[in-house]
Amino acid sequence: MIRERVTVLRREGTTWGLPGEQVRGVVRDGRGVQILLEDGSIAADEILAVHQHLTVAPAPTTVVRRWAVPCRGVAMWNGVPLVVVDGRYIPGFRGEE
Amino acid sequence: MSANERGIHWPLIGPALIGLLGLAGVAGMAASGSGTLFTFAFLILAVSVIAGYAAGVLRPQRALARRVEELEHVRHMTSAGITRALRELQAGDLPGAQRHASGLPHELESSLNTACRTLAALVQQIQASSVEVAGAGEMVHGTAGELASGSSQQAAAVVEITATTEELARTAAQIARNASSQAELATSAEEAGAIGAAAVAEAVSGVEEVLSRISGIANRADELGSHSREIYRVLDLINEISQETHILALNAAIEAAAAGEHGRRFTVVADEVRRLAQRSRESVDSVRTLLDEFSHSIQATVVATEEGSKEAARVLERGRSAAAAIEELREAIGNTARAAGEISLATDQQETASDQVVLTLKELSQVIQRIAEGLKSFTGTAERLNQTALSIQLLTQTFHTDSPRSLKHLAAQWSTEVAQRIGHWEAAEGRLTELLGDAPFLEMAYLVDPNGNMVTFAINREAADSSSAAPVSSGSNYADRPWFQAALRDQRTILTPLYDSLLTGERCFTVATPILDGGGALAGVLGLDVNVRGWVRI
Repeated sequence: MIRERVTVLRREGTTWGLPGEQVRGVVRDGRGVQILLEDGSIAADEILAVHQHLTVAPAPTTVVRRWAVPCRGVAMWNGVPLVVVDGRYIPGFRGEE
Repeated sequence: MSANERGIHWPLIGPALIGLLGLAGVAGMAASGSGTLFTFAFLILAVSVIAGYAAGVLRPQRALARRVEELEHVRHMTSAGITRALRELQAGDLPGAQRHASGLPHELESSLNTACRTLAALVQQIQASSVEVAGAGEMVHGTAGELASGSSQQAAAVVEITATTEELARTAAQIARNASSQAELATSAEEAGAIGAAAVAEAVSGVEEVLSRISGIANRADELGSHSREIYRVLDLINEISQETHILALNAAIEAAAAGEHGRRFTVVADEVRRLAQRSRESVDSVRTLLDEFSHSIQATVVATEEGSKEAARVLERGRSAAAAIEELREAIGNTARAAGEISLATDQQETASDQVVLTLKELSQVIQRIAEGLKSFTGTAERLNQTALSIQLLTQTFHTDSPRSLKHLAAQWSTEVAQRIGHWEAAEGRLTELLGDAPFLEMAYLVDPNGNMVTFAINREAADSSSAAPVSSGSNYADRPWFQAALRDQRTILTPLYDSLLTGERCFTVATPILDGGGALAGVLGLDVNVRGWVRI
């Protein structure tokens, strides 16, 4: 159990947890927002929260083993489970060319 | 020329000469102065006178007596002739009177013949005149009858026209009353129409005011729409600002999170700003929602005002149409009222005129009735004139003249014809039939024997209907008939009074004449039934 900076975003109905250290800023992008990362950006519908100390538990082995996406951990946010994933593996990530 | 005819009377000359001789002797002796001679002379004178008387008086007396006897005979014959002639004249037989006058002295015969001819001419003239008068009377009677009938029909027609005109007058009065009522109703309707027109005008004015207010509302709604759009723009601006603020707050929160403990308070402020931005956005959304509802309401109001405006316009149009219709109706009602008034006035005048016509027609009816009554009286007068003319005709027919219009003359000729066929009754009947063909005014001719038995008869089928049964029959006895008895008694042609014919039903009379055989004995009586109408027509 670690306390991490996590940015909670919603994209196409799914809530994602984005590690805070990857986030460089947020800009408006049409009807949504564009989350700027170090090596790209993610188009999200909305930024739900910016947590400085969200309790994140390591992902279970079964999840790590069976999910190809590197998972940083899982947490509970507002009563719902939240998966914290590297931003590069969140759908909608667009890397810098 | 005889001596008597020259006026010389010989029986008186002898005694006168003897007397003169005696007187001369006496005178000579007296002159000589002798007395004896005087006596002698006186004796001579006396003898001479006696001788002269014997010679001059006695002989002429005897001649005179013979002459007187002759004159008495002549007088007797003349008196008998005159008597017979006068009897014939009394019986109306002018040719008979002339026959009996033929043996009378010349002057008397001439005078009687002249009188008979004059009388015959007078009778014929009277006959012709009476026939003309009878014909004229019949014509006048017929014409007057037709006029009377026509006048009666005219009177009846006038009565009908009067009744119709009275009905027309009553109808006109009813029409006048109806027209007056209609005029009053039209006046009331016109007044009601005026009130209605004023009400409609007021309603139109009210609708126009409503329409104006609706237009004002629409304008205000448009203004509200414009203001709403302004508010939307402001809300968009606020939303934009809140979104920017939210982004700024997120970035601030990200930066504050990156700053660690040092940015913790800044993180709180950033969160608070982000929540404010969120609340702003929520408020904007709420305002937008309210503004949407408001806009919808305004839009509904605009639509409602547009519909109300359209409806008000339609109501206004209808109101104006109603006002125009009411105005036309008022004008029509006014015209109707004036027309009804004119009808009432005209029908009043018509009623008055009809009353005058009725009065005139009643007077006319009375005049026509008086004319009809006068014509009926005139018809009676014409009938009496006709009857009088017929009576005159019958009276003149009592004279026997040589005129073909003398029925006695005709009967005498026919009796002569029949007398030649005594005993040959079929021949007599045939001759009578032939004679009837030339005398259309005769209905029948018949012959009865001296005992009154019908021997033969002939019917003129031109005068009688062919289907009419003969009123006589052979073998029937007519001895009790007045015409038979009168013909036998007077031995002359007689005329009966008028009676209704059993054959034709028309007025007729009978001419009956005795028929004598070659020896002058009575062989029968010939009867001729004369149709008055046919006789007058001839």
